[in-house]
Amino acid sequence: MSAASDSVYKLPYRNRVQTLQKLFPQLSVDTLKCVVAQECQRRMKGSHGRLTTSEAVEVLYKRYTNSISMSEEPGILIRLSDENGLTPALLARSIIERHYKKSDKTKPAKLLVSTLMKNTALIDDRDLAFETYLCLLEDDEYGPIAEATKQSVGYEYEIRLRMELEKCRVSFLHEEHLRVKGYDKTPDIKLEIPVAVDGQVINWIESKALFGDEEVHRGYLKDQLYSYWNRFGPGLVIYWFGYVEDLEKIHQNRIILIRDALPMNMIFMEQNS
Amino acid sequence: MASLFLDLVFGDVPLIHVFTWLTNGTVHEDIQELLTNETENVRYSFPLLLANFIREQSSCLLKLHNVNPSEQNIVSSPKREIFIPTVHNLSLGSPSPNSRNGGNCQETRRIRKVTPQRLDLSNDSAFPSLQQSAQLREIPKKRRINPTQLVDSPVSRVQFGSYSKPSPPPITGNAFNQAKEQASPKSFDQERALLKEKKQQLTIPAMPDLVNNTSKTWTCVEPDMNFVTRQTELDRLSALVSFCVSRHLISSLYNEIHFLIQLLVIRVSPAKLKQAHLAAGSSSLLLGSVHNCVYFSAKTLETLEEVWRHVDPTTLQQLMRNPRLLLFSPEWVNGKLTRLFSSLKTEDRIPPQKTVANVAFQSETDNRFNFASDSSFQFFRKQRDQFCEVWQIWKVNSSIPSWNMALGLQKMIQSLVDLRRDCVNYAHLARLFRSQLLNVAQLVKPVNYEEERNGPLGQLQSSDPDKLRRLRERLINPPDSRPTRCVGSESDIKMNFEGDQEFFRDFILLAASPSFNEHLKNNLLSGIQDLSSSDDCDDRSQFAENVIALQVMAKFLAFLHFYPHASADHLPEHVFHNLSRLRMSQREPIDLVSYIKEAFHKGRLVLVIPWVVTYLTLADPVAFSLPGFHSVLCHLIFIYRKAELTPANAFLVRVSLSWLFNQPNFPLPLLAKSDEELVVQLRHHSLAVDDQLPQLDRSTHLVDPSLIHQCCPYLWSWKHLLAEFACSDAKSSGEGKASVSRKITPVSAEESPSPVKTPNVKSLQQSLEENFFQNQPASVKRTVEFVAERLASNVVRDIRHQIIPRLVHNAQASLKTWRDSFATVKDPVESLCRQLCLDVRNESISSATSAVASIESTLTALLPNDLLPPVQRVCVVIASKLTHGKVVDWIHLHVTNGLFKNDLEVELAKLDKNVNRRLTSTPSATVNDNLPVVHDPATLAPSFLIERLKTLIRQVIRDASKVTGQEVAELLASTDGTLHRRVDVTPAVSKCLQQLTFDFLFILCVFQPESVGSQTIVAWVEFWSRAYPSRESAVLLETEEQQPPGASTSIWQVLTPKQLLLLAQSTAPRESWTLVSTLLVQLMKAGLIRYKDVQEQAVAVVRQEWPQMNIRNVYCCWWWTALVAISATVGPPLLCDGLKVTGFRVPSLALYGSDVELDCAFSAARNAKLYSVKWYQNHEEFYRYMFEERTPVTAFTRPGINVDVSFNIAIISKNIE
Repeated sequence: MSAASDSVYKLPYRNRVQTLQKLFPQLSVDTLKCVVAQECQRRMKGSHGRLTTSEAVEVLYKRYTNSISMSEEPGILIRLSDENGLTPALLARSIIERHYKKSDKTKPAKLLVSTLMKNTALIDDRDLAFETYLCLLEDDEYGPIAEATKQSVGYEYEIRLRMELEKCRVSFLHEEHLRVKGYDKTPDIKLEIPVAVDGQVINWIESKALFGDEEVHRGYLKDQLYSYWNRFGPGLVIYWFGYVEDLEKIHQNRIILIRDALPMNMIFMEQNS
Repeated sequence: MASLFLDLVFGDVPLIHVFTWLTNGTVHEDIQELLTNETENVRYSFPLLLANFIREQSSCLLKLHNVNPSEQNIVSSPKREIFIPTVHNLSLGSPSPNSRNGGNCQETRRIRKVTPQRLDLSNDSAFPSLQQSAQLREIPKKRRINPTQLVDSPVSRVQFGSYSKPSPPPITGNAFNQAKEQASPKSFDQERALLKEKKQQLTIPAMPDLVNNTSKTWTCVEPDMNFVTRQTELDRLSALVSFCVSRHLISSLYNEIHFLIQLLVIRVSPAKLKQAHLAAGSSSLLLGSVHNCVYFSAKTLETLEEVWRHVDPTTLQQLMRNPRLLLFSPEWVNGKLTRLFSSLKTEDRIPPQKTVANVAFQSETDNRFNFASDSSFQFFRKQRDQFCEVWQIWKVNSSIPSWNMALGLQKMIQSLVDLRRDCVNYAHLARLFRSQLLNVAQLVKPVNYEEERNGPLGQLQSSDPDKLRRLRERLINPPDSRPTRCVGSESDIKMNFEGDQEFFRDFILLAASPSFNEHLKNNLLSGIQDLSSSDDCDDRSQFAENVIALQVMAKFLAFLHFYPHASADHLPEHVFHNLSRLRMSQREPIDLVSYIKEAFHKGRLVLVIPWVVTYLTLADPVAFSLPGFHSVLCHLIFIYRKAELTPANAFLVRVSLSWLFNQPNFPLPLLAKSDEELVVQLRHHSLAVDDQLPQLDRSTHLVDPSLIHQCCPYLWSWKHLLAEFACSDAKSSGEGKASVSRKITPVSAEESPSPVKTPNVKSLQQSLEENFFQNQPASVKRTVEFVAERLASNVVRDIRHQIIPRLVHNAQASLKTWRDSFATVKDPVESLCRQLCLDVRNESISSATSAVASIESTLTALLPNDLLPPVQRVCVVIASKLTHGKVVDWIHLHVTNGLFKNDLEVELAKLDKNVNRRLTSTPSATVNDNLPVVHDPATLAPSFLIERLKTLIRQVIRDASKVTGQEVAELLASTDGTLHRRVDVTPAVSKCLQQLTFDFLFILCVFQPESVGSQTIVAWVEFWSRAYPSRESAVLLETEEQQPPGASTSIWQVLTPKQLLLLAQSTAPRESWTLVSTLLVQLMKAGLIRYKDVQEQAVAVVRQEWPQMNIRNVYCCWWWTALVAISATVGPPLLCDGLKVTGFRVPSLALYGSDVELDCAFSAARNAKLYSVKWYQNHEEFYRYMFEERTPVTAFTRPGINVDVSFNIAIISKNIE
């Protein structure tokens, strides 16, 4: 899997999933999608600031308006995005921000821009509206549609985890229960009766519908997993789309298991006294 | 006095008379003359004097112990040399603050800087780095040694490193001074000589010296039975000593045994011996030869059966394997000792302790309701995580010698402790701190001896016992080998913390937060209070856990309390007195006397004494002189002498106490006091002793050797001595070692009277209840209290989670109607709160009452079943009273107007907001609200559906790939399924689906009108109106004015510029137009699109320029007509405000260049004033009629438009009328 993560970097930006699929037929599409998405996000994190300075956006906007006035084929922004490196949705967003620039040259309100992105029909310029719409359809990582997809996937797997646990007759509280009870940190699943997996006791389970590479994992450790460990003891994190080998060793002495599915070899506490 | 002992030992007085005298004070005539009328005075100090006598007898020899001939130059640390030999005749009982063992001041302290043993260790490849650093540091455990240092012990050498502080010089009264006076000056001279030598030595580099030392071996005198002289006298002496020890007359159990072992392993080189004999002529002493010493020691050790029963197997093993012991008392070693050892083996151990290393989050104590505000809660979340982080960092780095905690963590610690200066946060943090501390303390596992003997370690023991010993020392006492990373002055107090406790100590020091310290102190106090009185100690492992937890808490409490008083310097007398005067009225944080008394009466000494001792061990010298402490110490001494416990318990208590009595700060005079002087108070209260209670002190199974060793880590020094002897013996190098031995000088002092407590006055009912429980089994009270507490807590939880939310919800709902009906009421929230508060209280009380109903059955099940029915009834009554009381207390404390105010105000604000932007609310929120949805995994996952729709739209737009009507229908079905039969659809996803499906249908209408029929459209619209019912439509009109312009964000955008652009791309415009207008009509019929929206959209469209669509201009016109026609048929008239457009006529199609008649008919109310009528083409105005103007008509010439002005006027004027 790490090989897949590495070769991602050498591919052109769009349609990389299909290319990777040919390269690594043994891996699932979801895994590859995740790898690609995470690479893309990392790239954007690095270059977004540089690519969206007001000067850079001005240049892009000029090119866009030129293309419009030349009545180029629809898909102008997508072509621009391929060339420039910003993902289509981010590019569209920058262009909208520029388009709605106020008279005193300040950016328009964030809320307005997000509303326009969510419902492109509201954009007053029909060409920009259509171009933006095409961009959103094209972008798998950013924009409202991609966000909704990602959120949905996360939630779907959470539900799936809950159902599998119910099937195994594990008693647990999930996030919403915990929130009602006033917990300050809420893992997806907190086992009310701990179970053992591969010789380790686990007290909570966190579901992550993505691919666990080291950077992602470190981020979660810092924000979530260590906090859970501090409160509830050892636990389990599930990276549904796979994870890099040897990820567990970066926890040092805090036991947090990593799996890519709910382990079926759970050992339960004996109930009959 | 010395003569007394000599007489006793040499004379023929039967020892039995001495024993009786010591036990109960009756003086037999045989010893009458020996005592010379001092019976009572001497009786209590006798044991101490005896101990000193023995030391005196052997001192000459012990001085010579372990002197390596190759190291003639004895080096002592310059700092330690501040040595004032005081041989003054201080009277017995002079209350000197530093009253300590001056009796041995004549002894020289020769200190070598580096020992061969140490060097050997550092060269050992097994422990390279740690050992290196250890050389730079002092060994905490060994810091406690007082100035009566024996010559050249390996321990002392390390200890007196260059930065050690001088311990208080002995300036004290001494009962033995007369006997020793001659010897003292000589040793003083010796001392000076040593100092001189040392000074010369300092210039010589040490390293070559060391290298030489390691290679050298030397011989020592091996003890031999045949050379033992004065055997009878030694036997008598041994009998005396063992009698005193076994009857608890000698107050320093730990020390005596240590001393005996020292004698056992004494090593003296013949050459030295000769020298010494020549110099001092000490052969006349009883213990003047190695043979005698070992004989005496072996004889005495043999009799201390009670002790060996409770030490750990390793010590026993060491004893068994000791060649000298084997030589001198073979029967004992092979007989009883071996039996004892094997019996120990089979004994089961304390089950392995906790393995959980983190502090669990307890929602009862840690959740939001335990904080005053959200921000406090959030801050504590951060504090908690940071604390754990700091702890982890420490754990990882602490073993790295170069790592500095102050550098690495100080900032982090300080910021986390004071992150929010708020008492709630401090209290929580203190609790977290304590919990983590206790967790760590419990994690220390007892060494598994079984495994040790059979496993690899056991083999190591036989092959290289020295290495094993070092290994074990390392494991048990990590700080020995680990540098103390600590800021501030080095202090004895700090040295009491080892292993992981160092972290907590340094945390407190680095945090340097007075508020935190205060909270921590309180927390520890309450923890000690809880555990000391806790009843669930019957279980053995639970008991061990409690003992250790108490010890740790006491240690940290003492640290917090005494650390400010620690001093690195010896305090001059006047400073000392000033300080003690200042603290005369200082309150101790913890009332030790009452704890001890209570423990004594309830038979829980075995639980309480260990932590009391730990607490006192950390006390500073001044504290010991305070009156409050005085009475504590008296109690402890009394307990040491008189307490009746089962053997193991007694051993634990006495060893701990004897350790305390040996503390350098301990006021020794107290030890010589008679029982009567010591404790008056304890006896008087003893009528309260309750024999019915299960007494921990009486139980035989609670304490076992491993617990004893865990509680009294200093016991390792016995083993240490033996092991060192064994390993040097095994190496057959002559470097035998002795370790520290300390001497105690009995000095008596005036006893200060302790205040007597006055009993509290209680109300009659209370005392009735108290008596009721007093006479019932303890379990009854516990059960009743427990049941009441749990019930109350359940009721409270019910109130909090059920009643309050329900009522608040109702109130919020009523708030909505109030807005309309009581708009005049100034503060609806205030009155609602009051009402709500009343309601909640009433409901709570009734719920408490109903809960109480179940008490009877619960209690019947839980209480002992031989209770009389009336007693049970009383229990039920008390329990329900308690429950009620608790609930009521809670209600009064928590259910206040303020509790709801926030909720209601938030709701009110929300309402206001909603009124303002009602249109923006998400319609999809209702999707899953009503019915419990049964999850159907066969339906498409939402994320998959989104992907699919996205791909389809993309394909239709870009690739013009065909979508059949069949596919569209299927898509509808699966979307419906996903939305209604899955539980994992979030609002955002549902909204996204709404948008995508609409886009999909619209795009299909445009690009592939052939696969969309009007049936399809109707089906989809029907689906949408079901899945996304429009909630705004009902309240639409009344709030129209407040809506900010352009805020319409509805998804159903049929007529926006973008959609028109799409429409313009249609290949079959007519079909597309028809479909789109059907769609629009359907949407409006379903109430999904409001008339107003259409109007707005139309205006927006008109304002746009459509340059590239000149050719299709005509379609645009046609379309506009269609739009307005639809509006006219479906919706209310286009314009409101008394102006009505009654007719509107624009030809749908027109020939290029021909005339077109545009007609707009409207009627206005009588009083309405029309301002203007304007006509636009493509956003450009071409005709304007201003009613108030003198020349109302203005026509703008546009290319391709010629306006017939007069015609229009006629129409308009006609309609105005």
